[in-house]
Amino acid sequence: MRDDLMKTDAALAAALDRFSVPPLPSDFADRVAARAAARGTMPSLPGFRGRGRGGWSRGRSILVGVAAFSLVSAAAAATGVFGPISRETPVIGPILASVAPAVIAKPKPVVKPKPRQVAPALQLAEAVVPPPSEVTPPPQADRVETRAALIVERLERRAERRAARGLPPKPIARRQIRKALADMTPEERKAVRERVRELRRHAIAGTPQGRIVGEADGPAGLTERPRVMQFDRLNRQERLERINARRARKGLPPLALPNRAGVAEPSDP
Amino acid sequence: MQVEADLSVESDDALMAQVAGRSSGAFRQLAARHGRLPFQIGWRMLGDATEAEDIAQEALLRLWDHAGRWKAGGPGVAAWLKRVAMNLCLDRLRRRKFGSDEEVPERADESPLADALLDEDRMADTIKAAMGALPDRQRAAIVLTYYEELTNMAAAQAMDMNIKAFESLLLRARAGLRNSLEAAGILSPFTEAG
Repeated sequence: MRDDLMKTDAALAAALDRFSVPPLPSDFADRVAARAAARGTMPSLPGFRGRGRGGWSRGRSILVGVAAFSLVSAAAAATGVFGPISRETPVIGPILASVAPAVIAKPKPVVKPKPRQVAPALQLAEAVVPPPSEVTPPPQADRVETRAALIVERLERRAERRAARGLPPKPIARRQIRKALADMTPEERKAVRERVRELRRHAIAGTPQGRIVGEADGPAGLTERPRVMQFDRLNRQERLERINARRARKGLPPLALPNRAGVAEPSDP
Repeated sequence: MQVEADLSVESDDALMAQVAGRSSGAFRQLAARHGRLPFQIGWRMLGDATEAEDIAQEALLRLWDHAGRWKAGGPGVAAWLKRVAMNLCLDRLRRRKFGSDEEVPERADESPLADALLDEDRMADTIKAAMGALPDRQRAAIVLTYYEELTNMAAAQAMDMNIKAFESLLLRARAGLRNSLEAAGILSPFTEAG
């Protein structure tokens, strides 16, 4: 700078050079050293003045801190870190109770329960019922047997009802048979088929070696399917008779029941 | 005497290491070697020999206190003292400005050769007055860059300014000083700066 100024503005530099400085006192160094030695044990002064932080930068730090604290607090509250907040609402009741003398509560009227009128039949039933300690629950096997007996009895009653109405016993659905066969092991399935063939042979031969389902309900030697066809034909005949009765009331000619070959048979009058 | 001779050839960092051990002799050697730097800064900034001596003494005592934290290989003791002295001067000027309503006292000419060299004395007084008329920081910029021969960057760091602001300050200081000297008849307006 000095050389620069001397080149660019030599007159100004020459003028500045006239601003001379007086010499230091000769004992300056000794006096300073003496003062330094005197304060040798004194605590050091604060450090050199640096670039201080202004108000804006400090305020920005405070703002950032407050924003970060708010975010962390909100996140913690949202995740339930603080747990359920229980806030007691001040009410006048507890305050008065702590200050005012205790109020003697008026005794409530005692309501005597009326004796219940028990029906004589109920009393008799109660007298007949043995105490609970004497009733022993049936074991599991007994319950299964009882349940099986009930089912058998229900099936027998249903068969009786169908017989009373003149209906044949309900055949076993082929679907159920197929399902039962599918659930069996191959050995069981093979044994069942052998048994069925054997029974069928005996049924055809008329020997009492076995009993096919529905065998007692039809003549010997008649397989299941012809009998089913027969019942089906009977039902169709009944329906046809009802239809023809309605057609007769309307003045229409009667319909005939077609045979298996598709040829209509003459209807019964 | 042998100890003094040995200390005179020691580097500043070596002396500071001894000062950190509270060596009074080493500190005296540093004060003798660099004591004039803060003094002349104080003189040119404050225009008073007593105050300049106070500045120099205070800067050196701060160096004594700072010796324990001194880092060798840095800018050096001279640069450190210049910086501390300039800040002490600016602080003192600031306190003087805000501490009282009195005008800044006229600088007394304490040059020992004032009586003998009247013309030189008159010119020196004029230049001192022109320097004193500058704002404090403009005066500090002139002192640091011209008299203490610091680079603009070092002077800016000493005054805690960025380089651009300091260069602008320095230009304003030179322009203001030139105007004052032209007004006083020291400089001719036709001797334009290059």
